[in-house]
Order: sequence, then C-alpha cells, then structure tokens
Amino acid sequence: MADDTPQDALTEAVYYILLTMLEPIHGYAVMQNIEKLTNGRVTLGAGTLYGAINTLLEKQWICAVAGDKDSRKKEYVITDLGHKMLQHELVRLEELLINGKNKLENSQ
Amino acid sequence: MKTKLWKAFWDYEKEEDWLNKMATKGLAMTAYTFCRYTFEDCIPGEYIYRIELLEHSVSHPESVQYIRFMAENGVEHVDTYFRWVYFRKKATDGDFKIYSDLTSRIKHYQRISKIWFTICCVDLSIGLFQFNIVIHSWERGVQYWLTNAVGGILLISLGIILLSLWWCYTKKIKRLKREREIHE
Repeated sequence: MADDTPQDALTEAVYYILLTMLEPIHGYAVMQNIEKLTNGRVTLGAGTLYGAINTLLEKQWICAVAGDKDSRKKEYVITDLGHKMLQHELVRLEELLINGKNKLENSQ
Repeated sequence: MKTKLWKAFWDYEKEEDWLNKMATKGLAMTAYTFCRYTFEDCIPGEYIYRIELLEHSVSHPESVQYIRFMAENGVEHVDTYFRWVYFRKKATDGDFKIYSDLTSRIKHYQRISKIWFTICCVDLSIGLFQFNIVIHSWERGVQYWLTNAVGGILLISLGIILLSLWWCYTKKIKRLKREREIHE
C-alpha cells in the first residue's frame, strides 16, 4: 500500500475504488462500477476490496456514510484527504502518459 | 437430493477445482466435516466455489465482519472447517475470485504456509519424542518399542508430507513476489 506522501503511486485497485467513491456507494456497486468503467478489464476480488476499504478507512481517505437504517449495506464516500491523493495521482499519471508518448514517438 | 462423498485434499486449490467441477455436474457442496463433503442438487454450473483460510477464527469479530461484507456482495458462506471457509457465488453474477491483487494473494499463501509449518513442527517433535521413547523402552520388551517405532515412523512420514507442502507454498510465494516486482 502506498504511503501518504503524494509522489507514491496508488495501486490500480485503490485508484479505481477512490474514483467510484466520489459519490456515496456500497461495496458491491464499487465492484460493478469498476468493471463497467474498465470494460471488464479490472474485476476486483471481494477480499481485495474488503482489505482496501479497511486500509482506506484507517488512512481516512474514505469514510462510512451514516445511511438509512433500513439498508443493510454500508456506503462509503471519499474524504477531502482522499480527494487530494486522487488529484496527486492524476498529476503523476499525466506525467507517465506524456513521458511515454514523447519517448515512443521520438524513437519511431 | 443429498449426496455424501469422502475425499481428502492437501492442496486447497485442487479442492476448489474439484468443487467447481462438481458444481458444473449439478452437485453443489453444502457442508464439510473432516474429508466428508455433502452435496445438494443444483442447476449445472449454478455456483462458483472459493476456499479461503481466514486470519482469525470464524467467530472472531473481524471474521464476522468480513463474512458479512462478503454476504453484502452476493457471496454466500457455505461452511467452515477450523479457519477454512467455503464461499460460493452464483455464476450468473460473473467471475468470482476473492483476491485480485498480488499482495493479498501472497498474504493468503503466507497464512497457509505458516499453518502447515506450525503443524509440521509439532508433528516432527512428537515423532522424534516417540523415537526417544523407543530407545528407552528397549529394555521393557519388543512390543513396547515396536509400537512406538511404528508411531514414530508414521509421524515422521506425515511430517515429511507437511514439510513438502510448506515448501510448495514457499515457492508459490517466491514466484508471486517476483511477479510483484514488475506488476502490481
């Protein structure tokens, strides 16, 4: 798991979990959303998601939403800190993309 | 209709494959106790089975929370044997795997490897202790030392099997760790 320092890369699972949690969402929908977003390329294991949610809760990148009592399913949403981490990751990913494209184009 | 079958596995992944093969034949596992599997009829290929070794006992609050989370995600907890849990999910819900990342898979293998290693150490210590008794019971007659020697040999043979299992997981962990150096 990446440290809290902004330059550390997020895992693909964490990146997508944070993206789906921009709106309050429950675990099952996280898995479905990620699969849909990536056209089936990324299928998250339930155990992996469980571990990631617990770590993200501990780091306070996400928090549990006090939802309605009738719903058995817990919902989660990104925190300001999580949002900041996502922004940092986006900058890092853009750098990767630009460097990759430039280097590959120049070598052709 | 209920079907009962006796079968023993050393490797949980082979056990998982077998359970999934049975499910494709229309037999869904519903219970397990020491090498005895209970199956009930199902639509062929209705379920996908997965086996996991939990970090804590099944009644531990963390395990309870984990199993509840799985249930929320459409994963049914079928049965438990010590810390081993049998999960299943409807195949119509799509692919079912517990861990999709290398780190979690490594951690799971490490848990299993640790269990086999601990059992192996206990088993070998008892086995060697038996041989110690063999030497000391020599004077008391053939019957005594023979029984202890047979017991000792059996325990040490089991220890060798357990040691090879531990070694097998050590290799799997090493392979995944190497993969993690280049992949996530």
